[in-house]
Amino acid sequence: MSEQFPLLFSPLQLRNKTIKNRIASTAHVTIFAENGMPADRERRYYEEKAKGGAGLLICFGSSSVHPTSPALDWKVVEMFDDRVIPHLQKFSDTMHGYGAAVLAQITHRGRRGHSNLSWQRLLGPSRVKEPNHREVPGVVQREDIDMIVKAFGQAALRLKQGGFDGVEISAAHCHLIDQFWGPHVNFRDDEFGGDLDNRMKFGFMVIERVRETVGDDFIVGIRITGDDFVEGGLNNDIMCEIAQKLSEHGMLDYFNVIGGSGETLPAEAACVPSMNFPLACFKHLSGRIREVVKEPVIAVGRINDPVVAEKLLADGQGDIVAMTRALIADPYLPLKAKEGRLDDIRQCMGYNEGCIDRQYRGIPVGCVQNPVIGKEVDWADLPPATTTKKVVVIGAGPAGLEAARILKTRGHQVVLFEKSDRFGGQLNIAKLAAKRGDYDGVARWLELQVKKLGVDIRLNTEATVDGILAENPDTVVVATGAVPLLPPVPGLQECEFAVSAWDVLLGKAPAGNRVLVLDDQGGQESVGAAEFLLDEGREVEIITPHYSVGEDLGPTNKPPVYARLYAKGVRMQSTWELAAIESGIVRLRNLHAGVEIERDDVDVLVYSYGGQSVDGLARELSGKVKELHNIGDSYAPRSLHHSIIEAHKYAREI
Amino acid sequence: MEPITRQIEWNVSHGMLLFLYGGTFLAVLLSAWRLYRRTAVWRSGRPYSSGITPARAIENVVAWMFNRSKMPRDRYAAWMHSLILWGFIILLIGTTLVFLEHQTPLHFFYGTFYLVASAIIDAGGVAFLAGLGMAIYRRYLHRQPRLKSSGWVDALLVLLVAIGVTGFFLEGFRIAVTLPSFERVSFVGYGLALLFRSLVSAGTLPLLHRISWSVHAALCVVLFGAATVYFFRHVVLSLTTVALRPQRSSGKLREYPTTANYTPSGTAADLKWKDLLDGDACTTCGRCTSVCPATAAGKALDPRSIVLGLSQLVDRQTASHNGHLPSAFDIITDRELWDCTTCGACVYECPVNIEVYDKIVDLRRQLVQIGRVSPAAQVSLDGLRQRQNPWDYSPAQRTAWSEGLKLPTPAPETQAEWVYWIGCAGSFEASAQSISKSMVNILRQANVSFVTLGCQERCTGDPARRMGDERLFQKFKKSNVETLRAIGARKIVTHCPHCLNTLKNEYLEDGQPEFTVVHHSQLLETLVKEGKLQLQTSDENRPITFHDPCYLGRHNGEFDAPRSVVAALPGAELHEMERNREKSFCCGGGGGQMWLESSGSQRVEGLRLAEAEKTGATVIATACPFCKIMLESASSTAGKQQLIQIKDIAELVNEAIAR
Amino acid sequence: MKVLHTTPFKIAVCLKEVLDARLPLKVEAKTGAIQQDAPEPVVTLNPADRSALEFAMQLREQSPGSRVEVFSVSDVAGQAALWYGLARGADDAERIEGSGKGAPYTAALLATRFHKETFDLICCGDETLDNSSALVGPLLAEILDLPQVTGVVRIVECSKSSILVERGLERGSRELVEMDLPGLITLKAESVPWRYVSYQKLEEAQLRNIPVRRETLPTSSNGLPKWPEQATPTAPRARVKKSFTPDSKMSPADRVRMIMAGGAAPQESKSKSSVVEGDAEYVSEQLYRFLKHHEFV
Repeated sequence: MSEQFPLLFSPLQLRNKTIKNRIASTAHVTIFAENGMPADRERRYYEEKAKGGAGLLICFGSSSVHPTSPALDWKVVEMFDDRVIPHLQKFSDTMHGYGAAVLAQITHRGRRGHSNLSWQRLLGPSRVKEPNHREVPGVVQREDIDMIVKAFGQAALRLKQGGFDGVEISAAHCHLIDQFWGPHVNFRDDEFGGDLDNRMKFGFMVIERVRETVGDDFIVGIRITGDDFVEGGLNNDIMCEIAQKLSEHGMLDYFNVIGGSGETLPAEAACVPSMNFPLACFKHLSGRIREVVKEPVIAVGRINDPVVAEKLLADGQGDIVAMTRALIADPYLPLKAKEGRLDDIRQCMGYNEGCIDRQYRGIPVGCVQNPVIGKEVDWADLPPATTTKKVVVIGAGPAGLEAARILKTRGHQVVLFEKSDRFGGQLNIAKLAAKRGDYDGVARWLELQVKKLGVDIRLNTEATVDGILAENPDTVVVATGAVPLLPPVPGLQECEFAVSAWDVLLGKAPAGNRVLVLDDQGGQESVGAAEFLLDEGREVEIITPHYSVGEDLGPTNKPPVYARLYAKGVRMQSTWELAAIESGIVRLRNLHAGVEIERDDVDVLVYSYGGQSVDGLARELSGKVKELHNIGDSYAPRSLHHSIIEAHKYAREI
Repeated sequence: MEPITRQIEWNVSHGMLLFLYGGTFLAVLLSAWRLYRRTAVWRSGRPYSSGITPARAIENVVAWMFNRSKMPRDRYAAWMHSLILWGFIILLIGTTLVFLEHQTPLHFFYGTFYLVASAIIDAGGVAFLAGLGMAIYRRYLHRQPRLKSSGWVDALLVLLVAIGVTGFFLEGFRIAVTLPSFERVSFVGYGLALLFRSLVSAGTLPLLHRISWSVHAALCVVLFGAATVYFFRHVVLSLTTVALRPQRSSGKLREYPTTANYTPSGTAADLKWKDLLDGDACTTCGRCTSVCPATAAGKALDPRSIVLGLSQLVDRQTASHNGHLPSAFDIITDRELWDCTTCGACVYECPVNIEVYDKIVDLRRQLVQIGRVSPAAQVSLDGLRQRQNPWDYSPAQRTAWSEGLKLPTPAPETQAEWVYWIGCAGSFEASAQSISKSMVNILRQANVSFVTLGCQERCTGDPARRMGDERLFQKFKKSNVETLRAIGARKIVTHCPHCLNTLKNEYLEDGQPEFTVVHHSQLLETLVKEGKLQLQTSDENRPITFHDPCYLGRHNGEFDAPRSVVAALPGAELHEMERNREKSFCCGGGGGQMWLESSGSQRVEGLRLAEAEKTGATVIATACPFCKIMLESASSTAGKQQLIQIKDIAELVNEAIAR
Repeated sequence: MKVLHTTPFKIAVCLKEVLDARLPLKVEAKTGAIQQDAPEPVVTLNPADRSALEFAMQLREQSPGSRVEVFSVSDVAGQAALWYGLARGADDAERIEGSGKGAPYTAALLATRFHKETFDLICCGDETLDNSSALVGPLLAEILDLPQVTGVVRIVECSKSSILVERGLERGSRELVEMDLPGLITLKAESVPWRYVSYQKLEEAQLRNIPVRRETLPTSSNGLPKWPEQATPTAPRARVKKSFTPDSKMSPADRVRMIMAGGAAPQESKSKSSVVEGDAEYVSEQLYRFLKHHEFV
C-alpha cells in the first residue's frame, strides 16, 4: 500500500473481481478500430496503460450493439458481430497479463450521430433531433425495443466470451437509454414515456437482459451523467432520482458519473472538461450520486493528479477515479505515483486538442504532450542510440526540450542552448491568456526531465554559428521557433495602433477603448488576446474570414471560450477579412460578397495571422555541420502537437 | 303527663323519606363503586403479606380508636380527631336508632331510654362541632404549616359543620312546635327551640323544620356520596392501614422477592398493593414531612409527596383508558428517592401507620434493576460487589487497623464467648477505627473472651439493601450467615447499629435465632453495672449530650443503655437535645447517604450539630460510627473541632477506664 | 449523544477483566507477570471497556434492531467480563482463546474473529488498568484496515455512515473528529457515564453459557503474531463530503459557468456602473447611447 495514496492504491471488489487500485481509464472512442474491430493499434494503446499500473480499463467507448447505432462515423468497435470475439480475447489476454481488470462500453447511440455513412436509419424515443447532429430520427417501435434489448445482451455476452471482466452500459452523452430518460427528448405516450418510471423502463429492460445473459460472475456497470447541462434535460436532481432507482433495482456493480451530455455544444464540451475547467470539476456530481447509491461510483472530470484523486476518494466523492486523459498524457502515472515519483508524472493539462478534440472530428486520438500516444506500435519502446553522438540543440521551447530529452535518454551527449533566461519558448506567452495557465505544464515537465537527465543546459546563451561549431557537435538540432507574422494587408505595417496578439498577451497593447481583433490564425491566440483586452475593460470585436471565430478550436475548447467571451460582452463577425488600413480608418471586406465597410471606430487593431519561422541560424549552419535538423516552428510554424511529435521523431532517429 | 317519646319522622312526607333513603342508598353505592375502581388498581400490585390476623387487625383499630397508640404525640390533634370521630359515631348511632324505631317492629324509643339517648345525641353533636371548630382553628387561624391547604379539605369541613348545624336546627324546630318539657334533655335542641319561638311565628315552624330536615338529609347524602373521594377517603381507608399496622421492627426492611429477568418500570403492577392502599389512606397531615431530615435540610425529598404520589398513580391508572400504564417515576423524581436516610422518623410519626420509607426503598430497588443509579451510588455498590465494602477500599486493607493488636480469630480449639463484629466503618474509616481499637481494649480490660473475623468479615449488606440492590444484600447475607455458622457464633457484639440491625432483624428471619446480637452500648452497660469495668470518677462536671442513632434507637428501641453508659462516665452530666429518643433527628448518614451525593441547601448533620451545640455540652456522645463520621464532618465544616468533641461511647469509656 | 439514523447497528465491544489496581500489585521477577499481593485477588471489568460497553448499549437503545456483541480474549476467568456485558444487556458474548500473550496477540486473535463477520462499529476501551499499553484497539484497527479514533472522551453524534467524537488531548484540549463507519473507536473510562448493573442481572447472566472460540496464530520470526490475511479487500466506504453543487433550477449555461469558475456565482455580463460627467448635451448623448445599447429605446 502506498503511503502517500493509501486509498488510491487500495483494492476494490467489483462483483467477482478485485480491482487492484482505484485508478481507471474510462471508455472513450480512439478512432483506432479497423473495420469495426479492435486492432493492434488499439491493443497497444491500452497495453501501455495496463503496463503503467491502472487498475481498471474500460475500453472501446460507444461500442455499437446494433448496426442502427452509428459506428462508422467515428470508427467505434462493432460489438454486434461475433467476429469481434477473437479480437476481444487477444485484447483481454494482453490486459490481464498486467493484472488490470478490463471492461468495455457498449451502447446504442439512438439519434446521436449521422446516418450518412452507414445509411442505417437513426432511432430515437421520439421524433426529436439532437441539436448537435441535427438529424431527425425515426421513432423506436415496440419491436425495435426488443431487438435493441436483445442486441445489448448479445454484445455483453460477446465480451464475456472474449474474456472481458465486465461491461459498461452507456446511458450518458445522450445515447439511447438516456434519450428515453430525458423529459425533453422522450415524448412517447406508450409505456416507455410519461413519468420517470415509464421513461426508465427501456433502460431497465436493457440492464435486466444484460445481467440475465452474462450471469452473476460478470461486472455490469453503467455510465450516467450527473447533470447534462441541457435546458429541460436531466439535471442533477433528476439524475439523483434515476441513480437511486437504478441502485434499488440492484443489478449494477458500479456507477460511472460524468458531467454534461453529447446533446448540445456546451454540454458536449463539458463532458471532457478542458483546462477551462478546474480540476476534478464534477466531483460534486459523483458525490451526490454516491450519496444515493450503494454501489461504487467512478468519479470523472479532469482528475489529472494522484493527490487530487486521493483527496477525492477521501472525501467520498467517488470510489474509483477516472484518470483517462491523465493516463493518455502518462500511462505510467500509477506506477510513478505508487513509487512516489510525482515529479516524473507528465501531467495532463487539459488541453484536449491532442485527444478528444481530434476524436470528435473522427481523427485518431493522440496527445499534445506525449508523442507516443497512438503510435505505440512503433514508438512504445525507445531503443538506445547505436553510436553516441554529441548533439547541440538550439532553443528550449517544447521542440528543443523534447528533442534534448529523447536524445539524452537514448545516450547521446546533449548541449542545449537557449538565448532567454527561461524554458518554454512560445508557451511562456500562450500561458498568459485567461484559463491557459496550465499550458505551463508541458515546459515544466520537460525542463525537469532534461535537468534530471543531465543535459548540458546553457541559458542566456544566444547560439551563434561559431559558438555551435566550438562545441564540435556531431549533430545540430535547430528549434528556434517562430514570431508573429504580419498579415499582408496594405497600411498595416505603418499602422500605429496595430499590435500582434502576442504583444497583447505580453501587455504591450496600445491604449484605446475600442478594439478590433483580426482572427485569421483560428486558434487560441486571437481569442486569448481578445479576452485579455476584455478583462482590461475594453470593448472588443473579433472578425474572422473563417466560418467562426476560433475556427480551429476543438469542440471541447470552443464552447467555454465562447461562454466567457460572450459573457464579457464581445462582438464577433465571421467571414470578414481585413482589407486595408488607411489613415486611421480600417477597411473590412466580406470574403464571399466582396463588399467593404469602413470602420473609423477602431482604437486598437490586434492581428493574429500565423507565425513566421525564425530560421536564420538553420540557414547559416547549413553545410557547416555534419548533421543538421530544423524542427518545429523554425521549420514551419504549426501547433504544439506538431512540434513535439517532430522533435520526438527526429530525436529518435539520430 | 304526656308520653315521653315523639312521633318519629314527624312532619316528614313520604317523598322526603324516599329521598333520604333512596339518596343514601345511591350515594353509598356511588362511593362503593368509586372505591371498587381503586381497589382494582391496588389488586394489580405485587403481593404483600402483612401477617396480620383478623383479631389482631381489630385489636389494632380499637387500640388506635382509643388513642393508645400514636395520637398522644400531638395532643391537640388527638382531641380534635377524637371529638369529631366520637361525635360522628354518636350521631350515626342516634340516626340509626331513629331508623330502627321507625322502620322495624322494634319499639324502644320512649321513657328513660329516650331521655338518656336524646341527651347523649345532643352531647355528641356538640362534641362533633367542637372538634370541627378545633380543626378550623388549626387550619385557618393557627395555620399549622405542615397541613396542606386544599379545596377538598375545606369542602369536607364545611360539609361536616353544615350537617352538624342543620341537625341541631331541625331538632330545634321540631321541639319548638310543642315544646314538651321532657325535651329539656336535648339541651341544645331545647335551647334553640326557645330561641326560634321568640323569633318566628308558630305557624311557620313546621315549614322551617321541613326545610332544615331536607337540607340536613341532602348534606348527609352528599357526604355519603363523597366519602371515597380524595381527602374524604382517608376517613374510611386510614382504618385499614391502622388495622394492617406492621408487626416487624421498623429497622427491618420489607421483603423484595425478585423474579428472573424482571424489568420494573414504576407502574402500579410493580408496586406492592399495600403501598397503593397506603397512598389512598394518607390523611395528608404532613407529620412525616415535618420530621424528615432530608426535607429539613432543603433536599428534594418530601415523604408525604411520595405517599401521595402513589395515590396520584392510582388516580392516573383509573383514568387511563388506552392501556398505557402510568409510572410512579413520572410523578416521583429519582433525586427524591435517593435523598432518604431511612431514619424511620416518618414511619414513627405517621398517625395511620403508613410505611413511608419502605416505599422509597422499594422504588430504589426498581431503579437499581433498571440501572438508574447515581454515579456515587454506583461506586459504592460496585465496591460492595467487588471489594465487599461500600467505601470501595481494597479488601486487603480490612485488617490494617488492627496491626499489632494480635486480635484473636476463630479457632476450633478455643471457644470464645463473643464475636466482635467490626463492620466496614470500624475497619476502614480512620475516625471509626478508634472505636474498634477502644472496644478491643475495653473487652480485654474486662476480660471478655472474644474473636474477630478478620478478613472473613464482609459488609453485612445493609448499604446494598438500602440502596436498593436486594440480591447483592442476599449474597452478603448468605455468605455472612455461613461464616458465622461455620465458627459457631452464639453471641455477637457490634458497635455499629446498622450492622446490629441487619444481623439481628434481617439475617435470621425464620425460626429461632442461632445467635444473639447486642449493641456495644448494651454490653458496656452490663460490664459497667457488673463492675467488670472500673471507670474513673471526677468532681468536675462534664456536660455531655447523647445523640440517638436511628438504627439503635428508633429502629431497635435501645435508648437507655447508651444513656446509662454515659451517666457512668466521670463527671458526666447528660444534657438532652430538643429532639431525643424516639423523636431523635438523624445524623444524615443512613440509607446510603454516607456514600451518596449530598444535595439540598443544608446538611442534615449540620442541623443536628447545631441542635447539639444548644445544649451547651462539650461532648457529643454517640453510639454509631456513621453518626460520628457525619457529625465530625459537620463540625470540621463549621470549624468547631476545638469547641465540641464527638465521641463514641466506647471511646469515652476507654478513656475513662481506671488504670 | 445524538443518533441521526435509526437504522440498526451491529456493534462489537471488546472487554477485558483486569486486576484491581487498588490492591497492592507486584511484578514477579522471573516471568514479569503482574500479581496481586492480597489474599483474595480482585478482578474487575476494565473501566474504559465498561464505557465502551455502555456507549454500545446506549447506541443500541436509540437505534432499534441494533445488536451488541461482546468479546474477550482471555482464559476462563476472563469470562466474568463477558457476564458483565451480558448483564448490561449485550445480545451475545464470545470468549476467544489462543496462544500468546500481550496486546499484539490479543489484537490478532480479535482480528481473526472480526474477519469472519463485519461490524459497523468496534468499541474498545482506550487502555487497561493493568498494562496500560493502549495498543489493542489501534492494532486491531490496523489489521482490519478500519479507520479508528483513539482516546474518545465524548460521542457527539452517530449516524449509520459516520460517527462524530471528541478526542481527549493533552492539557484538557479536545479535538472533534469525524470518522466513517465501519470503524473502530477506543473510549476513555470517563467518556460515558455507566449505568448500574444490578447484582440480580449479573447473577442471571452468570447462568448463561459463553461459547469459546479457539484460534491459533502462526508467529513470525520476531516473535510477534502474523497478522491474519484480509478476507475482504474492499476498503470502507468513505462518507461523501459535500461540495458545491449548482442548483438544478439554474440555467444550464449558468451551471456550467459556475463549475468553470470553481463555484463562483455567475457574473452578470458587464454589470459595470459608471458615472458620466460633462455638460448637459454630452450627458444626454451618453444616456441615449446607453439606453440604445441596452435596447431600452
